[in-house]
Amino acid sequence: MNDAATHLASIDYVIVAAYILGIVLIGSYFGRYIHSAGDFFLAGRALPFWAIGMSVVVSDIGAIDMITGSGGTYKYGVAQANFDWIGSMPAALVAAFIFIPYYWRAGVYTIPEFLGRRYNSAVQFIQAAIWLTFMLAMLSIMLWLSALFLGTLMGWETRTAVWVTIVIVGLYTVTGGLAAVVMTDVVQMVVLFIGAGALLVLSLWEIGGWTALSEQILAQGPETQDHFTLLLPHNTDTPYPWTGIVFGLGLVLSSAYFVGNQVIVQRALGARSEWDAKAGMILAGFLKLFIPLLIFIPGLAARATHPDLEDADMAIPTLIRDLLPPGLTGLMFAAFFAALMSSVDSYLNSATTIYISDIHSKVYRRLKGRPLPQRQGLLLGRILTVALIITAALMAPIVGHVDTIYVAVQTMLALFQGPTLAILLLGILWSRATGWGALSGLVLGVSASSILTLLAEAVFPSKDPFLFVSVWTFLFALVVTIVVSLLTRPEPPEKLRGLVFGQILQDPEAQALLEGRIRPS
Amino acid sequence: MSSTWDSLRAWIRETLGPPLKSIHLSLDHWIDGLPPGAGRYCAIGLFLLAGLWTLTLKRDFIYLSAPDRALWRDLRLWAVLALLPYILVYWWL
Repeated sequence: MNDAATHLASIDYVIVAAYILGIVLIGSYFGRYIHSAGDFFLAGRALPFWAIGMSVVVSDIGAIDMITGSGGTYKYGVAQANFDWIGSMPAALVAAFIFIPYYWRAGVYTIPEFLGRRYNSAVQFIQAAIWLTFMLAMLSIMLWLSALFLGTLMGWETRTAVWVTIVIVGLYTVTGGLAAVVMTDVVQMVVLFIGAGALLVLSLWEIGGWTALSEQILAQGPETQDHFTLLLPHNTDTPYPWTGIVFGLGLVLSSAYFVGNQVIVQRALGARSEWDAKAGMILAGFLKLFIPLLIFIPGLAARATHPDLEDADMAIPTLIRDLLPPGLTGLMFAAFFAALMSSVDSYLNSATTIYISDIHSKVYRRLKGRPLPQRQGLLLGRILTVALIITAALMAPIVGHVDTIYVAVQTMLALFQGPTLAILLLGILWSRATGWGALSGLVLGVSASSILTLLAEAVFPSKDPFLFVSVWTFLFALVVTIVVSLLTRPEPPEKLRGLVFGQILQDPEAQALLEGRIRPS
Repeated sequence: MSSTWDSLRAWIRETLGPPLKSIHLSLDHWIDGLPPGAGRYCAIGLFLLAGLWTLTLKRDFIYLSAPDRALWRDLRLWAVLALLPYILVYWWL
């Protein structure tokens, strides 16, 4: 047992049990509407905008952000909030008004599938392989973090915590697919906002308000003098100089995340109309405004009340343990579980979708000469969901030993987000971009990211320079894609219809081409 | 195997490190010369640019597939209203 474990009162156990049971019941309820792979992966294309917006936010803000986001605020101050502020709204608008309409009308299940149609199968396969690897790593990290948190709160053993999580999340994700994931996300967002809101109010109350909070932190010495500065100087020692935040995060990483991350985009692809898809993304961008208040201010409060924590990522668990009364502890525990479950179920469902749509279906069609039957896709999706979550659980102890998990995740993303954004952007905005161009941009771009990450200390003055790596590799992949495209044969106009910005989209023939109902003449 | 990997890393560091560092440093020096509020103005500029661009979008595109053309469904308004608090936060903090 963990010595620091919180002694939960009976009421806390009741709240947590009721919450978990409710989520499993709601999630499983949607299983009755699942009859095909389309229902399982895209919720039958019936999602309203409010569910999409709330689900995007809560899928993005998971257990990782609650723990490592508040840990980052504890160490670096409010600059951490940039990831949800400048790193969301502009990108959400770009996604809503440029990319989502094309994805939605193309009727694709995944971003790699869109890239496959726009460019070629090689680009689709590489993108799918990259995302699958990343998602598996993320699932393992999330499960490991849940174990850390549950260990602190409940005194559970790490393995117990991991397996409890996968049984609960697996139950409804396997039966209900995307519809279950999104609808449970809606409930989870409400619980998250109430639980984290309670912690915010109580921590500010305990310290004596915002002014007292800032006074106490600023009095801790030179290390905390920038804790209330949102945009840190260019020569800061932290990983967040303003240049990296505005150009790396605001322009590249956040855009790549909102337009190229399957977990985020899949909700919009399941929208009941194009308007709902766009509105859902804008709502998500707006709701992200509140996340730093709920998660990062408690990180600052922990800095004020516990300035000597050895591990910054223990800021929120420690605050919960010390501040919250019975009842609210249970609610906060449920909120954490909500954040964790919403991220795990989303990554699980999206990883399965990518594997079935972009790898298995392609191989099946090539071998059998016909598309994968819908019912077979559904069965396979369910089996794969179980296999993936078990694999992630087994990998959790390995990936969990990374020193700073938040920076590690961002560094992983920076490896391929820049090149991905470059080929997506050119694919939508420039009809001259070719399959060879995109393939070269993607492969050389990811290679350049890996080399820059290796050279980080030798090239960049700032610590953990993933923000700069993303900018440079985005520009590099952009140039490579343009140059190679100009040197290779243009794509036939029939192939591009409906996939490139500015083309006529309300064209039944173009739609039929996109859906594969007719072949290009 | 690990010694090959180490020597490859060392080779990459020695050959590519210095030229890339000099490019990055020259930009660094230029940025160091910018006024102190440059970061804030760039961030606010990004939000303003996003809002202005949204306002240029055509009405038909905004309402496409919407059940009706009610004012509350105008996503340009949503975008502008959602951007306002962000601009205030970056102005204030």
